[in-house]
Amino acid sequence: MRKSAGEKTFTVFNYLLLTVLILVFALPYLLIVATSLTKAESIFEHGPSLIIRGLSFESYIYLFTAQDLFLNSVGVSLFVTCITVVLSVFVNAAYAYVVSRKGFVGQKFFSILILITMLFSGGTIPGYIVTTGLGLKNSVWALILPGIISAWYVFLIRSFFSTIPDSLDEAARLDGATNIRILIKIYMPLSKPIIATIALYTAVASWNAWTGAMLYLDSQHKNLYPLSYLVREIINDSNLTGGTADIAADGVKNAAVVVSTLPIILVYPFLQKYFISGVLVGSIKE
Amino acid sequence: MRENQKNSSAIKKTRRGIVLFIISVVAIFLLSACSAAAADSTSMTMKKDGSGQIHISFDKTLIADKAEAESAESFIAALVDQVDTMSGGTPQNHKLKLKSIDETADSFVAKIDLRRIYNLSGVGDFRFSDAAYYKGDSGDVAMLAGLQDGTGAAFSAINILNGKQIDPSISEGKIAINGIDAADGAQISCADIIENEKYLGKKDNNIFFFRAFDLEYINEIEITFAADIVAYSSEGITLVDKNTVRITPSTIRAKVKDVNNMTNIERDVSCFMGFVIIQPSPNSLLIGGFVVLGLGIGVLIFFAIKKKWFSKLFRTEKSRAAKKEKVSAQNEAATSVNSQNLASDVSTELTVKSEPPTPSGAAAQIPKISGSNFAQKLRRIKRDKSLYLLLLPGLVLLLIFNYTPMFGLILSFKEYDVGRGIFGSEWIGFDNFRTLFRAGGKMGLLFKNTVGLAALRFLVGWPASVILALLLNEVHNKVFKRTIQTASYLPYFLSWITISGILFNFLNDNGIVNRIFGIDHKWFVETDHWWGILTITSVWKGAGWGTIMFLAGLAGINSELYEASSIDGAGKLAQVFHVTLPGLMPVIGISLIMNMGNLVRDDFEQIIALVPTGGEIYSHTEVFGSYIFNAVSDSPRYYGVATAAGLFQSLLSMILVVGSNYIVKKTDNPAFF
Repeated sequence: MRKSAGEKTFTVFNYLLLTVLILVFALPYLLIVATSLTKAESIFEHGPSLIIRGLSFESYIYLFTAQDLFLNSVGVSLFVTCITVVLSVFVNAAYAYVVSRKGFVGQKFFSILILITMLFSGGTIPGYIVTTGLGLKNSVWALILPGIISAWYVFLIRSFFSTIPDSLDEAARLDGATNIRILIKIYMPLSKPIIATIALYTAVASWNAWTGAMLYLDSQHKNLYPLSYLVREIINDSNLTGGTADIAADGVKNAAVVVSTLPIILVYPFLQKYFISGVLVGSIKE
Repeated sequence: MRENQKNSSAIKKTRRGIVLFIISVVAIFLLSACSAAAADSTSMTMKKDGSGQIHISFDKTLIADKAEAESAESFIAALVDQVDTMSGGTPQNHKLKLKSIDETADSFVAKIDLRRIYNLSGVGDFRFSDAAYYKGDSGDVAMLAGLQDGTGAAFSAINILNGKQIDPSISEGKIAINGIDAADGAQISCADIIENEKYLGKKDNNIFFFRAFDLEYINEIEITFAADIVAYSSEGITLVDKNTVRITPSTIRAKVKDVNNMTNIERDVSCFMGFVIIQPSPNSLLIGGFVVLGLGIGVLIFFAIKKKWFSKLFRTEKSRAAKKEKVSAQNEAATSVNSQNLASDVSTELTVKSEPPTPSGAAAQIPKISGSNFAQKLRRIKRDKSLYLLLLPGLVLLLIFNYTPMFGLILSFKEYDVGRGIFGSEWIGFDNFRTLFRAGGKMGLLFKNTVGLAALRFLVGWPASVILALLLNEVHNKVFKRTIQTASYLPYFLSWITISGILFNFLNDNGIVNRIFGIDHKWFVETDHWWGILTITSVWKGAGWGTIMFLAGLAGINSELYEASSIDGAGKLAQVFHVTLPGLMPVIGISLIMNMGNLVRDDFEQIIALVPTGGEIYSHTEVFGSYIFNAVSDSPRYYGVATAAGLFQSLLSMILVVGSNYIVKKTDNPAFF
């Protein structure tokens, strides 16, 4: 098809606009990276800037050496995230499997039980009272346990399971397999895409989560701070960044942000398709 | 011929779609405006702290002496301004505002509006204290007791602005102040005031102490409160009406030390001293506003459904066909969420339901034990024991972390006492809701902020997503497309903490914005642009991700339609209006309605991460979620009120979501439930 002059103009304009948009989305983050790699004097003089006047890793060195708190938080976050992902995948998949079995007594009941939690929840304060009442205050498990079971994920997995032909199930049963076996040996391996999606979403959510820490960890337990929460503290409080003449507080703050988002930035572009497919399951189609 | 028909019906669809969009926008504005108006009309009483009006009557000759060369009016104006500043007022946010000065034969009456006063200082220690949620605050108890016997805190040495120190606690001229019940004029002791529920006791009343000394140029002060007066002190106060008191000074003997010239004399000093106890009343305007609005929306939706406006708007060829199929098909829907494949331009009949219909009915996935009566059910349970085991971890977590807190919602009707736990705490019925909804309660502000910010987010972000999707759809270079998609999706996965770090770089004192524009705006102190900041960051974070749904919808539009329309001579722009937008209508419709359902939801993480804690900016942007979240670290006494606020928000949100889901279903489109 021949393109008219109007169409060509539009295309040029479109590409230009979108290029600008790419910059709009990318530059703020690049700004952080650049500032984190700048010498303290430059930061004092010029403020945060994209142009690195004086490359230096001193902000990062400071973060990792002057405070053992930082490295510690990285460890806490890694621990919390891994455990959350593993538990979340298994617990939600198990629930979804059970609730997708026709003829299971209570299938509808348990489906509705979890559906209700999607509509309605107790809220922050009752949740806080329950969690602290269980003695979980100042424990990392307060960050892990409450979020594991999720109606969204259960339904996602269940929909996926329903695409797996029943013949596999029947064949396995004829061979004498138990339910648990069928789940583990047949359904899970076939559900790799959806599991990947859920694992990724859970991992990102868990890594980024900080409100739980704010509620349940008090300042006597800084050693339990997950990274995201520690970064918040660093951004808001210059004491932790050693705002002396040698180290620019801004540089350290930016470095902290970079470290905390690095895993996501590095991993995301490659796993984008898994993130997107999660959104589209359950979306409408023309 | 048919193509022309198709085109014109497509135009009609687009037009209707635009009309619907405009209606939604108007509805949003109405909602926000209503709440804003209600909130603002009570701005005089936003806090429970004696906002209202003051009329101060200045003695003409005496004030002229004080003013010296200046005119009396400008002196008074300057005085009010000075008190305003000393009480924390700013040009954007006055604590006191002089409205007018009337002149009579022997006095100047200054009419002043009060708002948001906690502590009014200046003008000789003229003090209004807020003893909100009075539950036996020891300082105020001491104050009351001291007033009664003319000793103690009320009468200790007072420093005043103009360098005088007044010690009124000498033996002569002591004033003993009791209370007077506003209803029947009976005298009440201060002890009774503290204990009795009618006055302070357990009620949410407020008490205002005022004292001002040596202001001989003030004849009287008249204060109108935005609440009912329950009791007042016995010296020098007369009740004008149920909201107004008039205070006249008494004369006491006191030692006056003038620190400027180090003199120390004993003389008569004029003294305004006492207290007023007020009872805040429900904010009928706000409640009424909600009721009217709710009814209005309900009526509108009812009509729309009855007249099938929504169906007519969104009905497509395919869904008309699908509806016919639905009627004749026998299919037991087992799942609530339909799993769909990524959009392709292959046939649309590939809707995968939980199980395909078979001639013999629904296929069983477990060899069926026939019948479903009780004995057979037991047999099935026995057979499936391992399934119950699998269910257990999820079930336990669900019950503990999701259902138990639901029972905790009962706190909304209780006054939480940590010692007695949730179930042992005292039942107070709707009192918590009363506290929220009354004049000066939080509901007006929270609702205004929550809905306002959500509306802004929608009005800016939603069209941005749609337009971005449309633009992206025109990009044919795969690499470029991938790049822009990745770039725009990424901010969605950054936490608000990260964004606060980014924002810091921009809005800090030496940040990018100040540098580029050469200004020196204190972004984290001034309230001005924060709704804009919140909206922009929200859109930056979410707009890209929001395009996904639209891109999928766009991909589903039959490309033949484009070819047909270009054969008919449609240019690019015409194609957008005649092919793209109509084809996108179902997605747009659902997305619109979903967003409307989200109007009462908030992104409290954004507020808590970005906005400096406490302070003006926070109260300008406080939403339900952030209020409740901060309430956790507050005193447990207020957990009941915060839970009530959360309950209200959840219920409202659920109604909106279920309602919008119902509407979507009515348009023959798949919905959430």
